[in-house]
Amino acid sequence: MKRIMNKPEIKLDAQKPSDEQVLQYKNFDAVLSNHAALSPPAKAVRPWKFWAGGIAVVAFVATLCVVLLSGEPIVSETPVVIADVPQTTPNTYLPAGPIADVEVPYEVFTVVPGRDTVIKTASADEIIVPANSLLDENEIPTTVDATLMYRKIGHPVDYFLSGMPPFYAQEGIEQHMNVQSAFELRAHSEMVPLAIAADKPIGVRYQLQKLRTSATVYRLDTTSLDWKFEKDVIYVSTPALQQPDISLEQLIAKRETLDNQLAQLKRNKPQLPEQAEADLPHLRIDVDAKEFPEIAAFENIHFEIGPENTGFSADLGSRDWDDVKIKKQEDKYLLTFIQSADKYEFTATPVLLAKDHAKAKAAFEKEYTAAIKSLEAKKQLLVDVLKELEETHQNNLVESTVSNSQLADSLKENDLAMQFKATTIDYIAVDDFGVWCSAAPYSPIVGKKAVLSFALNDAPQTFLDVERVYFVNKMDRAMYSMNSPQKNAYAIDTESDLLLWTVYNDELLYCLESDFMAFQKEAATTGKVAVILKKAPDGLNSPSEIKQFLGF
Amino acid sequence: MQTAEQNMKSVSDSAYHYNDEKLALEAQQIKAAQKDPKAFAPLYEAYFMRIYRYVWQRVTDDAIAGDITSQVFAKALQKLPDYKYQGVPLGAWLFRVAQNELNQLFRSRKNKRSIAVDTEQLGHLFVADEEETSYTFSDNQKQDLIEAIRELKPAEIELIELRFFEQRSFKEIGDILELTENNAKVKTFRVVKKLRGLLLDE
Repeated sequence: MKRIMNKPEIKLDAQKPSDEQVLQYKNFDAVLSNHAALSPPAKAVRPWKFWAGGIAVVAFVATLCVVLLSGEPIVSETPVVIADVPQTTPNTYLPAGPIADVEVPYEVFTVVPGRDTVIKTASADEIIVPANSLLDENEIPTTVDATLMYRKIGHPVDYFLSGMPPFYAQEGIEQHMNVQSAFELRAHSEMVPLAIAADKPIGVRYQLQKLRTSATVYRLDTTSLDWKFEKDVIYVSTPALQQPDISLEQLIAKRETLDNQLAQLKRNKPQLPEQAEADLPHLRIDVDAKEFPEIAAFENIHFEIGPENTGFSADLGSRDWDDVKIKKQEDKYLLTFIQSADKYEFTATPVLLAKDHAKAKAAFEKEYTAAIKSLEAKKQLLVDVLKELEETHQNNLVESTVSNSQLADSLKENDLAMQFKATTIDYIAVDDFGVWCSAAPYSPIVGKKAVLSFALNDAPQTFLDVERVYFVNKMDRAMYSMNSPQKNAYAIDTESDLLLWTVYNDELLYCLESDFMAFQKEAATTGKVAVILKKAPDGLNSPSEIKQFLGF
Repeated sequence: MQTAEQNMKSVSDSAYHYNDEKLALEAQQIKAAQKDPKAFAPLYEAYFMRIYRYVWQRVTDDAIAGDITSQVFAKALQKLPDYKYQGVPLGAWLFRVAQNELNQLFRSRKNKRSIAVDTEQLGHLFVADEEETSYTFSDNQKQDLIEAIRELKPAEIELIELRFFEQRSFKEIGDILELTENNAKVKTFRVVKKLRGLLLDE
């Protein structure tokens, strides 16, 4: 297994400097100056404390307090620090990644080793550390607080940057891994690497942005940098649908509320006021919209004084009253006019004058119909979603139609603030610290094959001998790579949405997606094409910047 | 044909003999330097050349080796308050500081790891009998040599470098790599055997 990077340069019989030449570099004053410029030596027991000075803390989340075997709550004072890791940290498992100074950050936790602990990471993964599972160099459970470092590789570009090999050896032949997710887990106490007790594996439950029903667990042999098969099938839980903002119970409650609202709306359908009778008296009275919404909704509503009000005379309608009270009385309203000690009561019916009635009727029907439709639609959406959820939970199948953008859009419109993600959760019982992944070995691509030649966009006639090419299938988010010993012959699935990049002379080069698509078409006819690469700009110093450059 | 073990002996041990008096003096100097960095001057004087050559062997660039060497001594001064004298020359510890500094450099990819192969020294391993005093690699053999060295693991390369290209004694190699002298010898012998096997199809 060849390492991708960091091959030493072998120089035969290089001219060694003479003693005189060496002495030119002897300068004790410079040493003292350098020493003065260095910060005081680290003394901290908890590495996250002394790293904090030189690191960018980009996430800070506390987690967990759970009851496992002991039944007692465990309080974690653990800050989660995503940080660069100093080189002096023990048990570094991976070589430097292919891009200088760009490392996928770790999350760092402090664990009290005598207690059961569940750590929830920033990416919502869970690390379950049984009590007394961490062993010191004498293979006895450590009693000193342990520092646990976790690095989730859940994005193909992170995988590339991490230095993890995207291939494995089978009978001496390099095979491609179809890698979707991996993680690195390590621990130490006071800078001494720890081990895991054989009978107390650490559980890692981690999420993949990918739906699948099974996978194979591999562990990285960090000496040969080769993935070693560990287990055939891992436990894959199947909550295909996630509702970060609303639980199943809340969803059911929401449906019940909508049911009630719908029933109420149908039961209490507001009545359109009748058209006023021309020969009856009418009074224009402003009403409180909160108290009488059923009539306040209509503009220019009038109260028609029925013929049963024998004591009503037209002059009463033109007097200035101290107060007018309105009270609903079955299908009519009781109007009370008060002035000093005088008080008159009449029954009245809300009506619309002929000129307003036709307009109001049309608007009313439209609004009511829309209200009913809206509630029906909301209910139907919830019924559909609930059906999906219930079926998924009942059948324990990983399948979903939640990626249906129409449904997602509809949900947004209805302000349910729901986000659906197609997610699989893998569980790996880790019996040794190191680098693990759950993946499927690379399947031979069914597609058109072509021989690729690589050139830079500013020198398209000069072909580069690139050592390794990285591909990402953007649909299933899996990365694989191929290397030049295979004579630049790459099998390309022309139906895939592929992204390609490589590293040449320590510089990241990227094939423009549009060029790549053009290549695919040409490959179908000629089988031999030039792939034009674009060089990454200087100053890409973080995984996020590189992802941005790659557009993925 | 000599054995690999016999040929290993043809590399002379370098001076790494500290008598009790010299060790006691060094212990005093360390103690003084732990209180005052300026008192580190005699130790710097004693070890500068050896550390520089150790670094140069791994970067093969005079100026870069100079910078790194300066940095190694600055780091050593920084860590010196925690240093505990254990009856071993300070040099072994300084080499480990240098080793860490180099590893850090290579990991950050600011510089590429180099291996300066001294074919004359390595040639001792391939002399057919005691009558021969030297062995000259042909161009093809040199290419094979490069390939063979590439097959070695980093720890194996380190042993070859320390023993054959830097002419260090097994005692010193053991101190640098934190092995016993005998273990350093056994490990080196195994690497030599492996290298010969790769080159001569033994």
